Amino acid sequence: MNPLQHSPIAINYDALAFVHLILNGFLFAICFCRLAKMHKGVLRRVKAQYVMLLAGSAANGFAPIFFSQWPSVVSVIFTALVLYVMWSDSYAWKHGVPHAALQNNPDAKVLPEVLDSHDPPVKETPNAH
Amino acid sequence: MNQNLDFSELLRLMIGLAVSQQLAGVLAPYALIFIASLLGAGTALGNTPMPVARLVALKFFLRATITSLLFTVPIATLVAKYSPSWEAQWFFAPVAAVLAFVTDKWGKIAAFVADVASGMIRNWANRASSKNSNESEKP
Repeated sequence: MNPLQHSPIAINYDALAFVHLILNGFLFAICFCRLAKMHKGVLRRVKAQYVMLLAGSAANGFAPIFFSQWPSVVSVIFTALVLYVMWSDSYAWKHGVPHAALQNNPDAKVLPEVLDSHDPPVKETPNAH
Repeated sequence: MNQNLDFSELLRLMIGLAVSQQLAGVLAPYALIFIASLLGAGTALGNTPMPVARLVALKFFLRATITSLLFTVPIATLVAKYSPSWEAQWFFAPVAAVLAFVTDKWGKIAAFVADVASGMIRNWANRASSKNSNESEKP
């Protein structure tokens, strides 16, 4: 039952679950728009990031219905923090996928990955800026 | 020993804490199917050759999710009838993910199957004709 029922603060857990659902809806929308901007040349781990966050935000928001698990105040605050992180990243995705998320980016070769496109990586020029 | 170790059984137990067992038994597989279809549809959306407009992506997403919500349970039940030891609930998540992933690519799959079938038929016809020609040349 309610773990805080003896505390002086009364928390409406239905309203909290609704706030949680709204926050996760924003997260879902952000992931959806970024996935729509992606194409074949994007790193697979970046795609996996947003696919997992998409499904995870849907499962998290509908958790009271799907799993009968109710969000606590702390988890709602953490969801709001994740949403802030995603929202503050949005400048990088304003005009499409950022260069750091592309497969022909030399910095992306730190981890091995199966490439979708077999184009050679872009050579870094010293006076690129 | 209870052999129901799949995720939908876990969901059914968890949902059954809040609502009735009958409702939980229906709701739990569909929660699992919904999450799996989101995974498949998101993967398909990220794998498009070019960026797509938001409205197009939304239509695609609705199509993928509704298709897998509607057709996963019948297909999984049909697949599970292959062997009496197979249970349908084990196929809910993979069938939902595959259905959502293949939403727009049924034509490609049909073309691939048709290519393989025509190749097999051509191969068989060539072999039959060469056998006939050999037989006609022998005497």
